[in-house]
Amino acid sequence: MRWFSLYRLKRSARPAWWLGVAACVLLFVVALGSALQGRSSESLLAMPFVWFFSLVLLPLALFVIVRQAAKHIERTRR
Amino acid sequence: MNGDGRNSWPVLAFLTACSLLLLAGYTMEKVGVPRAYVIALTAAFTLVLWVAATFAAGTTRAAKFFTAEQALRPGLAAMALAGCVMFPVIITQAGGFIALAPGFLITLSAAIVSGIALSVLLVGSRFRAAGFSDPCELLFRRYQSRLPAQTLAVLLVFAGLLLIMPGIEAAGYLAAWFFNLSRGTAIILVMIAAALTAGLGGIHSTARLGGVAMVTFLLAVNILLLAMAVEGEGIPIGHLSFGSAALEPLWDLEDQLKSLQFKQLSEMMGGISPLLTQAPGVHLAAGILVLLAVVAYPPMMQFFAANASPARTEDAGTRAILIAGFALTSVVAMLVYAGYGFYETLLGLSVSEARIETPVLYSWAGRGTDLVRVCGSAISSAEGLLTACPEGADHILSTSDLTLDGLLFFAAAADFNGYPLALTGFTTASAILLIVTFCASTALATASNFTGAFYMPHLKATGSHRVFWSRLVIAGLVALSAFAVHARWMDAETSLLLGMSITASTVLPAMIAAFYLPQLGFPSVTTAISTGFATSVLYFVLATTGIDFIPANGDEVLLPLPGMPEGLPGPLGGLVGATAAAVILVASLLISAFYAQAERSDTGNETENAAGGLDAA
Repeated sequence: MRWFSLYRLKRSARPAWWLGVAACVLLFVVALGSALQGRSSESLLAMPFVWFFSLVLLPLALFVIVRQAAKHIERTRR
Repeated sequence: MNGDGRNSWPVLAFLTACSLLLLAGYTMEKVGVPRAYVIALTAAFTLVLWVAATFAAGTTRAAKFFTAEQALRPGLAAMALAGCVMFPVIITQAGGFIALAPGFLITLSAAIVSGIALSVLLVGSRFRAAGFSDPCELLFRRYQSRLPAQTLAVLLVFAGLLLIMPGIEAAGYLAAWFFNLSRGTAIILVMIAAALTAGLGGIHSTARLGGVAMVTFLLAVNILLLAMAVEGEGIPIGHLSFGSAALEPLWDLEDQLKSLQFKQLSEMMGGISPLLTQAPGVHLAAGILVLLAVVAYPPMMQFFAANASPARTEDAGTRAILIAGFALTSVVAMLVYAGYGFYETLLGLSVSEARIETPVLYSWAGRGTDLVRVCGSAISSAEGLLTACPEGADHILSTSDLTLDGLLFFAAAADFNGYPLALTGFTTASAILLIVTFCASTALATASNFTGAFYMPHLKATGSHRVFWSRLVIAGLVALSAFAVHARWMDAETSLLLGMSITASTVLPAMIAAFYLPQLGFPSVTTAISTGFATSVLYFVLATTGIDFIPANGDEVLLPLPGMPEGLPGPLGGLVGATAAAVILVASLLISAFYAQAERSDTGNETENAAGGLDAA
């Protein structure tokens, strides 16, 4: 059986990959928007659902930061 | 799950086994087969997964035992990395987290994920590039001295013991409840499983079990989460909707119950750790401690060392961030939905309705621990439910009638919400396998460090003998931990946090010094390690019992910090210890800089005098 490779999928179906990423971002924005509906923005940070969205975003942000930092360190080392 | 090539059949076999368990269990329950058969099927499933992952990877080759011949694929390494930081407290105190302190669970999750990220950046690729399997051997080779390595190895034995104890207790508790075993039998079985996993194949078998356990765990939690999110409001993706669709309605409902003077979830649950009732400042401090400990966590470093190259290590580490983050978010979301669903499922039902709709109330009696008690009694049959409460069959169940075992809330979340027993079994099996992986990876890392420091410096050291001695250390460590659990030496959360404290105050300063402070010698590093450990333990003693070793008699000394009305708790003394170790390293840096400056001045003066002499000549 051909081994599933995310890299090969990205290379062979690049527009579909980015379409998928855009769909995820849109879904996230819709979820955040529906949760924010009817709420005051003054106490945004005090709302628990904001922290929970942060828990979803934190691993993604760290993944990107660490990848970029590691590439930068490798380039500097060379 | 085969690390030797691109073979998909083990993955297919695994997914087939999971599907068969769920389908067969569901069908058996619907058809009316007694629950004991579904439980037996779950036991067989757990055993098969454990045997397949552990025994197929058995080895006597040192290179395979300690570093998996540096051929571990990044995907499997990432799964194993994420699995070894799924601490048992997340599973056993799940009920307490949701009922009392969901913010603490968020903080802990963020700390774990951030700790992995920092570990990848600061330690991961450098440790892999050094080519050793454990920090102690690295210290020995780096400083050409046994002193820092052996000091750290001995201290890590204490840390390892303290970390394995809560794991054995947690897995033993779950196994005793679900499979109806005695406490002693469950502890022995978990002890044997952890020792065999670590001892048979070393990092090879531990990584395979970690991969299997992590995938099973993710599947179990997310299947349950999907089912609950689809039934709930908002978009059916629980990770995004749990805040507004479950947590806020849960808090609104609990406010109403409080105003009507009914019990809330936290008051119904037993077994909640006192740590969860502490101030938010304490929770933040615990998060920082966990973050520091995870940065230089010895089991993680052993998985780093098993990758093919530093670049692959970074790849595995970054994937582990995503996997751990996804797993922890799934756990948080599932628990929030489960908490709200518990209220929705049980409240307002009459006893006669509950007989049919909520069999969880009478299906788990007669075991070592009572999952739920109704009107003060553990009910063993549907008929018993009718006579347990006043007003008999017409009695309307309320929160004040129910008492839950909070330690089992995670495992029984599916049952509390009316889902099939097969899902409860799948969740419990995955939790047990994950905790066994945690125990095995900790035991293996401790043994590798011990033999790396005490055996490898010998001139006639061989790999096969190192494997032999490591297996002995693993067996001894796990057996001692099991004995300590059986004798109830220490409660699980204190033990885990103290183990984290020792790790944060000893391994982290040692690795920072080894990789980033080349001007320091072994005396400074040894002093930093010893100071960190001594300060952590001394603070724990002073804060818990005071200098007279008698607890709660008013002479305890706690560090007053912002956000902590009662001061920093003793088990978090690692923060003080890590600070003390850092002070030692900074002082050593300043002293060595001073001496280096003084030497340069002396050399400069000698050169001027010589030149002046020549010039004079």
